[in-house]
Amino acid sequence: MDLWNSVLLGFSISLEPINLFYCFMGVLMGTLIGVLPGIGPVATISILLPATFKMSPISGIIMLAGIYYGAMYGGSTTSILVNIPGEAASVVTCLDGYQMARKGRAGPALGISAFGSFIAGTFAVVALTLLAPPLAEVALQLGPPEYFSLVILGFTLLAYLAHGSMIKALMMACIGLIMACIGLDFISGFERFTYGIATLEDGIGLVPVAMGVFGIGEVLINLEESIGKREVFKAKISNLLPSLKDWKDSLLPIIRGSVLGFFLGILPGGGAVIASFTSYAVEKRFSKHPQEFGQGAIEGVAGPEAANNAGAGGNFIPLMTLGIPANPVMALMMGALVIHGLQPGPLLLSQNPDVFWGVIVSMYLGNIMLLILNLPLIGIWIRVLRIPYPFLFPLILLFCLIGSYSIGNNKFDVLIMSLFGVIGYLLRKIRFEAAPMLLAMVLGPMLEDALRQSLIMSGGSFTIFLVRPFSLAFIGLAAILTAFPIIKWILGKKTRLAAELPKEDHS
Amino acid sequence: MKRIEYIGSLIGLVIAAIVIWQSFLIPMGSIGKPGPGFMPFWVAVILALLSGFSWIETRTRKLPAVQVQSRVGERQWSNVIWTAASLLAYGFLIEILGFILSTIFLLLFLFRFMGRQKWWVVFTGSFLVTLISHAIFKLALKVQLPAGIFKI
Repeated sequence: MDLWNSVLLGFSISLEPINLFYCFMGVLMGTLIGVLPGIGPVATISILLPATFKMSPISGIIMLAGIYYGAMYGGSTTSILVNIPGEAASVVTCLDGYQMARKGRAGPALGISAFGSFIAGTFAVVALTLLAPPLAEVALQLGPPEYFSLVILGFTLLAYLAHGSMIKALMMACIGLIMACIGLDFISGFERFTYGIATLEDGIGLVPVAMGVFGIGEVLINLEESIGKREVFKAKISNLLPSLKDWKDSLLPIIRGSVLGFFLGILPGGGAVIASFTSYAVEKRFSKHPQEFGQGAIEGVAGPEAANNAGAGGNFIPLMTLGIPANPVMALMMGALVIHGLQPGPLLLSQNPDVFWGVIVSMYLGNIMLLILNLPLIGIWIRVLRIPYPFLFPLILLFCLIGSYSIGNNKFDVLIMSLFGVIGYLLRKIRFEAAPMLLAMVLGPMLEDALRQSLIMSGGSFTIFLVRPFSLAFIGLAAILTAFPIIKWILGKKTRLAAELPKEDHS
Repeated sequence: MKRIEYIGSLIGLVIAAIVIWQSFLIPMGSIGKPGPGFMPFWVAVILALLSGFSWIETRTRKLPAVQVQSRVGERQWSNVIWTAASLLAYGFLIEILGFILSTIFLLLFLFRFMGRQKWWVVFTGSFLVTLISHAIFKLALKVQLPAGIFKI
């Protein structure tokens, strides 16, 4: 099927009333949770994943995807109006967005954020449409050694791009891999680390862990502090349409943010968060007046907002073409595809073109819906922002509890989620990131399978990873990335990507 | 600050040691034909090495002159402990008391003692949220929520 017919197939599927409805529900919920601080796309997708069991796979995935890119749109509203990021990818928007609001320019800040997000989101979907099919064909030629090396490269990139220490990120990945070993060994059928507990035979579920670490953990951190009333921007917001000068200042940042965000989104561990931070650093460097950054420069809103939306689109590339999730949200999407009997990866395009193209094309429509939702309905989102946290957190907890129970209809998942909520809280306290652990949990079985198959193929020789070109390239790149910080550390010049950014910690 | 990082390294070492010990109880296989114990053993060895590196990195790193607190505000540790305990209790009770009763009790507790709401808000909120969530999840989305021993 050529590209044109594939896109037409995608439109015919995504324009079905039921899919349009779920796309709308997805972007609506995404915007809502993006606006609400304290609940992010990982927790929301985890909570709603069991609800998709009754839907068709296409509708379910369309809705979950809508939640993800919708949250990118919604997150900026909170950053601009309250100076609290609705989700992690909008942290950097606080810096200039809130300053613009304080100077009476909340309207143009919200406007350029929505338009920038729309342009970047659409760019990402077009790029995804063009790049995914050839990449999927290349991926079909990869064998177990290449997959092993690719996953190792993924972990290294994830650790390299982590917000904190690379060693800590790799430690978390190891813990995730160990957790992935719990349950029946898929080759020998041997029980590992189950200790006679029947429910552990199937392993520890990804969704209760994700909900616990990201949903419950965040609530516990918020409860630890005395939360005062949020100061929501009170002045009337007018002129949502940016002026000609605003457009002139923002156009190049939006274009740069879109390209940068998309390609950073493809990298494991990249995604929307790192894309927005990098875009801010790039815009500050390109700007003729960098001193205005942090004082309400519109470029500081346009670039990062474009980048985080493009990053969200780019995230779908490794999942759809290689079956490798780039971040926890994509790990959950992978889980959702598997639960619905679909195998993410290169075969998805050939075996389930309806799902592949239906989901991609739904993103075009979702982006248009988001533009409509975000500009005229801004008043409603401001009201949502005024919901007091003491009333909100019990609801978040309850939805997490219902979500975790409904996965397997047993209390074990609820207990696992609660336990990982405490672990998520403690991880934040000792400054360890949970994302590498979650990704390793998902990639663990694939990594182990690829390693054991490769070693059987080679009769126990590790050179198999070095004699095949793709594998050698992946391993070589991973080695360079690992060596880079070690050399810097030895030289005593340890610098970090975050050095370009203001030192404020929003974790 | 450094103490917290040492604790992280130590936890990593302890987990690695336990997994290495437990992996010996699982068939390890050979390099040419790895068994089920192969992967957890070597991952735990790598974890132990990384924990060691993390310890050394913490020891050799100089503390920044000015440390930025991640969050400001008065710390309320008891909120965390009570909330976590209430979630665990909910997990144990949901199949005994059923969804409706256990949810009402949980929300009463959270709204009143964690959220510090007024009693009328506590009761109205708890009952309304329970009924609405029951209607959405059980009746509309057909999620199988437990009825408990009282069959409600």
